[in-house]
Amino acid sequence: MKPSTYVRWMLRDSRGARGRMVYFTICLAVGVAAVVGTAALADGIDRGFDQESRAILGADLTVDAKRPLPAELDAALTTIDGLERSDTVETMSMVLVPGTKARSRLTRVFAVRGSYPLYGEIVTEPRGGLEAHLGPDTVVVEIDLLTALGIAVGDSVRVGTQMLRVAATATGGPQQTGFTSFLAPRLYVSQEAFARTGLLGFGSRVQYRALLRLPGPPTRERIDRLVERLEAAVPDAAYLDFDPYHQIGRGRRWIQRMEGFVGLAALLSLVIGGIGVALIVRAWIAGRTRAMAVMRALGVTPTQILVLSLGHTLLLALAGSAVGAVLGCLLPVAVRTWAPSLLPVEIVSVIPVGAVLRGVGLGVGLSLAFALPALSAIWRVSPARVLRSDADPLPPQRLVQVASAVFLVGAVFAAAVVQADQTRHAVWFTGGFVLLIGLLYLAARGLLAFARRVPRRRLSPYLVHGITALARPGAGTVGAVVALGLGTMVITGIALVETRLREAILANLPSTAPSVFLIDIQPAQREAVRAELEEVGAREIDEVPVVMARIAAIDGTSVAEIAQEEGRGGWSLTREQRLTWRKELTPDNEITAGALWSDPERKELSIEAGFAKRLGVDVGSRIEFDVQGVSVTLHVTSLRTVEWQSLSLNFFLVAEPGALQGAPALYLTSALVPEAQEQVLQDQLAAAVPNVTVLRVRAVLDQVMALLERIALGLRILGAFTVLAGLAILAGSVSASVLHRRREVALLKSLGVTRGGVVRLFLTEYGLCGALAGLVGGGGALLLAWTWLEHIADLDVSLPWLALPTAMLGTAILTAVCGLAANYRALRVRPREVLR
Amino acid sequence: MSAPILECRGVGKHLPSGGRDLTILEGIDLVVPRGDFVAILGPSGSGKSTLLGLMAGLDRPSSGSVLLEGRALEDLNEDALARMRRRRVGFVFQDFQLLGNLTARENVSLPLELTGVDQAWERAGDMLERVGLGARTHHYPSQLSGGEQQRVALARAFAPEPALLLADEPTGNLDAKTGRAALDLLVGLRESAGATLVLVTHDDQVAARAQRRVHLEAGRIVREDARA
Repeated sequence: MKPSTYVRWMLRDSRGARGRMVYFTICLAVGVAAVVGTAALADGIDRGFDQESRAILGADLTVDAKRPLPAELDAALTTIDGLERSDTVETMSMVLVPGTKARSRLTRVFAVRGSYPLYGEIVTEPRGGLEAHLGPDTVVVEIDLLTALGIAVGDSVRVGTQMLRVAATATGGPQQTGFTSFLAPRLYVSQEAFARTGLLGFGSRVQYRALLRLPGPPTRERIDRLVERLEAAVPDAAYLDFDPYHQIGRGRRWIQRMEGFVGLAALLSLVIGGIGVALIVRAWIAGRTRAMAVMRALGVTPTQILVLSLGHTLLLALAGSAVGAVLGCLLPVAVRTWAPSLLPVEIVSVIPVGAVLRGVGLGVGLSLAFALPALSAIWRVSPARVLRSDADPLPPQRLVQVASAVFLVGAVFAAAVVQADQTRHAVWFTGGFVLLIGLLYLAARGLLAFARRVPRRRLSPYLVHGITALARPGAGTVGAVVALGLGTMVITGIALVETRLREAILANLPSTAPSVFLIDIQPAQREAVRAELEEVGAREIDEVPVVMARIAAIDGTSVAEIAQEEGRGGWSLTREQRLTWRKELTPDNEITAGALWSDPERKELSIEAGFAKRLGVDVGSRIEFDVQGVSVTLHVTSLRTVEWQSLSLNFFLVAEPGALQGAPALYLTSALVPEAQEQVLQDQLAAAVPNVTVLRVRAVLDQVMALLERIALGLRILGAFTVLAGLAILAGSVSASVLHRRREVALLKSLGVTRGGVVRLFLTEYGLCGALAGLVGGGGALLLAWTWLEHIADLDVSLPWLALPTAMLGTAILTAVCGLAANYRALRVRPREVLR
Repeated sequence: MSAPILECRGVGKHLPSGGRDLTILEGIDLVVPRGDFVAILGPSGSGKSTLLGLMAGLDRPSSGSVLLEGRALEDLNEDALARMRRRRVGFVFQDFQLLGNLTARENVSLPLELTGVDQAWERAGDMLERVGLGARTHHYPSQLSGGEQQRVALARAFAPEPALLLADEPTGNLDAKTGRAALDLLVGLRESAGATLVLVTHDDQVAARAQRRVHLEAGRIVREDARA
């Protein structure tokens, strides 16, 4: 047969298949939209990072330290011809508008020198950039700060000890990713003015950064060579943080990991859509049996019918995938329009060719894979049906059945490998999917067995008929239960995890948990701070000293040497450590090894167990600290675990009282302040001790909750996709049987059943189907949520068993309504029209 | 005498039914010479339609052998059987068996397209003209009366010029007058095409038009007679 004949037949074959095409398209489009949408979004973000990575960094390379950058670095940098350099000193501080009603706001203060940034732009209003507006008495601030303080450009703010005039507002600029940018607005000041504010005083928590721009093309190789050269030139290089633009990307790595997980969640809706495809194809083949028998009798071979049907499926798959791809492409646009703050970078909108190809490929591939087992029934159509409608189907070809099932599982796995960023996750996904399908399938079979055996006595005839209708041939109960159950599981699981997580965060705050932290109190300010706290009625005031130090050596081996060792220390080793001293530990500490302050001969140290493991130390180890230039050696005599959730003041490193005698210390205070007094306290402290940072737990928690909310919203939307796919499947299988239903309704009516009675029958049938799907799906969700919370998130939570009846009832109602709606036409039928 | 177009040798058909083996046909021996018009007569349930299905390779016998133009059908797989039917066998059914989503002309052109005949579309139109439906070519089966549907089915059966035509109660679903007209058309087309016709019926008047009548009862041939 000529290819053109196949095409002609295929087109003829699609007549009268509008319903099938619509449901096929919906089933597939939902899943493909999810896959393309998430991939397009990730692609847009990735491109955003690519295009903006220098603007995000503001440089080709940055060098960061917690102490002023070493002179050796400056010397090494001046030897490079044409290198551009800009410097920032960054700190967190309270900025204040003095007056009778003082107002303050926690702010990120950037003291800049040189042309900042070297890439990207900070747009100022009035125009001109930072250089035009930063003078000895001026600052440029983000608009949020003006709003928080209730002032305008031209007004003055107090930064540290200085009153500075706001010369302009700023938007954009580098270093916008990360949690602190989310927490506090920025203020730019010249380094000359900054020096006068007193914020650079002793013990300030300051980030020193040099921004560098290479002359000529900044290839990765050149930047890597520069880093090597600088590391060799600076003896303390281990304490410096080199950040080349092409490796930025904690955000980027996070996006990639998220893409893997979200991609699998999206794939789930596609796979559920695949089940819909399988059901629709099966119903289609069943409805075409007579036509196929006629074609066989006329001499069309089974292979030709298979090719035709496959071609048909392929066309529908392409159409459904195309619709889904278009919808998916709109997702980044929608996010950019309605929720731009959800994204870490400005996403780049090009047509996401890769995402579209991936979505269409997965959509078409999976629909063919899911259709194949159903299509294999073509071989079983006996041509003798043209003579006897009860002609036996031909014997099944075991090989074809097994091969198509293996092909299907293989296809799901291959799709999971494409979507996940780790093969391990793809294995888990496929295994979990097959297992769940198996469970749902068994549950559905169980329901059918029950429906066949339901006792007829003493039950309402409506109930009996409704139940037995589940077991009717071609009722599609099994497929509907499996698909709806999967959808229910996904959405219930997400809701469970989200609410438990939220509750865990809130519930783990004891009523005595501090609501305010005061950071960087200088010894001379302790009395004033305590007086302010008492004035606003603060309780549970706890004050601890903090000593900043670097680890110089462990058991006699220098940190620089240890840092070379594989898998040890890293950042834990070379960061600035915060030590405190305490005589007694708070109740949320538990000694797990050694004993606290047990060696009168030596200066002792107690380390948090996890941190000790990262450092590679144990009881008996000797750690040499560099405390602001003075060497102090401490002996580890105990390890302990800490319940960080209590929010009490806790430290990885606690020294024996007296061990750090004479070391320069700052103080850290926590207190429980009445909510109404928090702003008052903040304003008063900002006026009296401007270098002290006030962190309000409620504000931070609110921000964390807001972030969690956004993530949860995204997940809920993905979950909704799976339920949508499940409902599309149900509607599809109902519509496939609508002709049959019309006859049934007509017969029932002619036997005297009222329309209300028919509705009751249908409600029973669909309600039961939905309730079972809800039961199995909800049960699966509880199990998954519990596993995740208990073993992965490590939260001790009680699961709400109420979720199970809720899921059952919700799915039952949704299914019953959807089933009735899809049967609307059948319900209105007049017996005469059908039975004539 | 040329080789027979169709030959049944000891053909039997059994079906499992309620745990027992139900005998539909038993020991059927029948030879149909080329160009003959044979009617198979018998009451309902005598196995007529089953025999017709076996002759076309739509179904497989439980015992014995069916030879079409000398080839044993049981040796052929489903694809080969389909190819054989497409070239050599035409069908007319009691319930017409037109494809509901195809127009009259598309139904007729389907077997022609299948064999790759040139100008299948035009030939389908001509064929419908011959059965008197030249004005109804674009109508769907549901828009045609029973008699008209059977005429489309006849056009479809004769269009590829098959050597053997099998008809299963072709007038069974039609009223007496329409049935007679359809039968006249069938016989007329057969004569002009020179095809062999095997026709199954329980109607003596229909069978009277055949050259030879085979009487079937309870799955066995009980009697044969020929038109004088």
